[in-house]
Amino acid sequence: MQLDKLLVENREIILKQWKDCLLTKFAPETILFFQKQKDQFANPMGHKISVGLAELFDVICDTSSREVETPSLGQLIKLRAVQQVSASDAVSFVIQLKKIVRKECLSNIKTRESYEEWLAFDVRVDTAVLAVFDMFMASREQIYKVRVNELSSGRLNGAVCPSAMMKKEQEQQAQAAADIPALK
Amino acid sequence: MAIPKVEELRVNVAREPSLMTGAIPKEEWMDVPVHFEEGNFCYPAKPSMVDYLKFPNSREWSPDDEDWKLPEGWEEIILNGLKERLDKFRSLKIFMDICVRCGACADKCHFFLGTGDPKNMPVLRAELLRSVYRNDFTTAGKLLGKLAGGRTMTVGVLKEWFMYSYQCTECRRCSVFCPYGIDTAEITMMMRELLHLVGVGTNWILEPASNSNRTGNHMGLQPHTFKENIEYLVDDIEEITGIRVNPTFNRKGAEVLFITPSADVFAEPGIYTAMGYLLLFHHIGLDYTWSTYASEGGNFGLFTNNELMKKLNAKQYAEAKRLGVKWILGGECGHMWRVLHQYMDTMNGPADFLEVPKSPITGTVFDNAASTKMVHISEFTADLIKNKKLKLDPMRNAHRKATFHDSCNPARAMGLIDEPRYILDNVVPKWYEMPENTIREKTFCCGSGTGLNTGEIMELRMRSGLPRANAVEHVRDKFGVNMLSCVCAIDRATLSSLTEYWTPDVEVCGVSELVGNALIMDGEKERESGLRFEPLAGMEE
Repeated sequence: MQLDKLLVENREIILKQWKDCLLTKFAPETILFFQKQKDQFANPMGHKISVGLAELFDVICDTSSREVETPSLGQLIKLRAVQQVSASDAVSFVIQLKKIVRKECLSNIKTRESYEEWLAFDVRVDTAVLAVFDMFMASREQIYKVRVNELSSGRLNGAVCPSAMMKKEQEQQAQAAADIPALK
Repeated sequence: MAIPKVEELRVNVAREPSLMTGAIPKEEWMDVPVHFEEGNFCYPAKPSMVDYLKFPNSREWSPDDEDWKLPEGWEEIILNGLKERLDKFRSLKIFMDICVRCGACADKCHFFLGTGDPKNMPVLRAELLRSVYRNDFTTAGKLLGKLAGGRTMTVGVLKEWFMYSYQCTECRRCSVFCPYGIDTAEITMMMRELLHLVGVGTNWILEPASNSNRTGNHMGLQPHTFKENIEYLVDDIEEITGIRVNPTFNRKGAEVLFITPSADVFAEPGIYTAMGYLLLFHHIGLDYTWSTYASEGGNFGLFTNNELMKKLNAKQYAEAKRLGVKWILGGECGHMWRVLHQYMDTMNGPADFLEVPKSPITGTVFDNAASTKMVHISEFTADLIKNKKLKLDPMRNAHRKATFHDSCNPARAMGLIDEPRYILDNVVPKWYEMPENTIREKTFCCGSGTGLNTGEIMELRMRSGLPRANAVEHVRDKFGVNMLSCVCAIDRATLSSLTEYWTPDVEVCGVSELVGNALIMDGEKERESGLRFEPLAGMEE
């Protein structure tokens, strides 16, 4: 049980590095802000990343449960789903955890001695990647639904013009009426 | 296949630079070009819309094309346009000169917080225009160019203006924090005006503006359709309450002209707000009329240029004069109130043919509207409640756990902050505030104002609305909030999509809908459902 113990002991440092991974695509001034501002309402994106990663990390460390999805992780994946990155890029951060954990924990325990523990950890990360990919796809589908619902509610300015619809309907009726004698 | 290292894997799978920023900005901001791709820009205006409004350079084009088909001598057109505006608007000249780049605004913008793009820091967004101003209109810039923070007007700069002036909702949250009071919204307005001079605009703004010019409202509703829509609402009200309300249209000699955004008479959930208005006016026996000519409170001219804003706004006073009303009552809208409160009087006033608004029910004189002669429905309703003129049963909203979103323009452009809260205190059993730094004058925008509420940038809207959604999520989780109330038609439309994505179990309504639910009408039947035909608490099957 050495690895599990180390994961708990190094939780904070691992989470910090994991968050940094997700932030690398931003500009330096943005990264600084996302790291510095602790008020969750003044820094919603930084907050969502932090709590989402923490929940996912705890889920991966918890060997007693196979459930991956948690509320804050769900919100983090929703965020990834609207950032206009490719699906693979959006979920790749989960794989990064393997590298960070090896870096932080491998010097303390020998791979050979705890081979099965490392294998089990990798499997849990792989399982999480798949679950996160499903969550990502569900979020993408939700975005499409939001788009469709917005259209159908008539909330879009000028998207549906009743007058134009009425005119079109009248034209169709007139056309239908004109077609009847032709059929005879 | 060679096994890639983990960090390589990440690079390999991400085939394109992140569109969070348009590009990965590791260089100086001036050297980072914008990158347009489907999903990060609003569709350009159709040539027919541009022609109808008599704007220049109508053509088929797209922001993701290399060639934007700009007119001959476009640089001169832009610079002359800037010169004209610097001479005409003293505020613009001051805003160009006084910024000391202290950074107080930098992290206050919802677009920055939701996208992480440094060019969405208000200071940097303004710098896009300011750098050109410096280069061509200041001595230091003319002599030293880039050293003095100046840069030449190029196609790249123009494209940047388009990208970022349409990633600003002119919400003015940044202005609240600026020690100099720079109104960044007006800088965005100027950038958009200048872009229109060379035919660069979006369809989502120009089409409603054209419709408004043609039929009087954004939706393009013709008078009979506008009237029929309200009559449908009257039928629904009768079914729910047993009361038949009798609105009138274009009635000369009415005491009050009522103008609201057309979305309230056409689109969900605005129609329920309109049902609230209809019930309220019937309840107090107000002598008022709707107009099928001034059938739009909103004004997409504000998002286009000042001339169009003035033209579209003019119909409100013109109609008030034609009908011979005493004053005008305005519905729940956001940017409408910025136009009315800050520009209308100068543009189309003085409305000396109208009287200073006086509530015929309470006798209250609205001195705050002495000049514009227009009163906000929330001010009017709050006054009625204060004077105990309304019979209300807040328990009819017991199935709602509400919170209140301050719409940017009423809160920051006219200081309407406490009236809607006072109404809520009286029409719902209990409601909950969102965190302090997300409400009142510090409110976060819905993320889709100023004509950005279009479907092609839905992902961007979900990002820019994140700060607001995040606060809604908080009160939902903490207090079980299930209704986000507001006083803005664009909010009602866009927050509905925002909450559907981020907090699916929270609905959106206008404050007047909650008023309508709570009103005890004389002779009404037992109310079993709210204005959405949803069962009231205790009435569920």
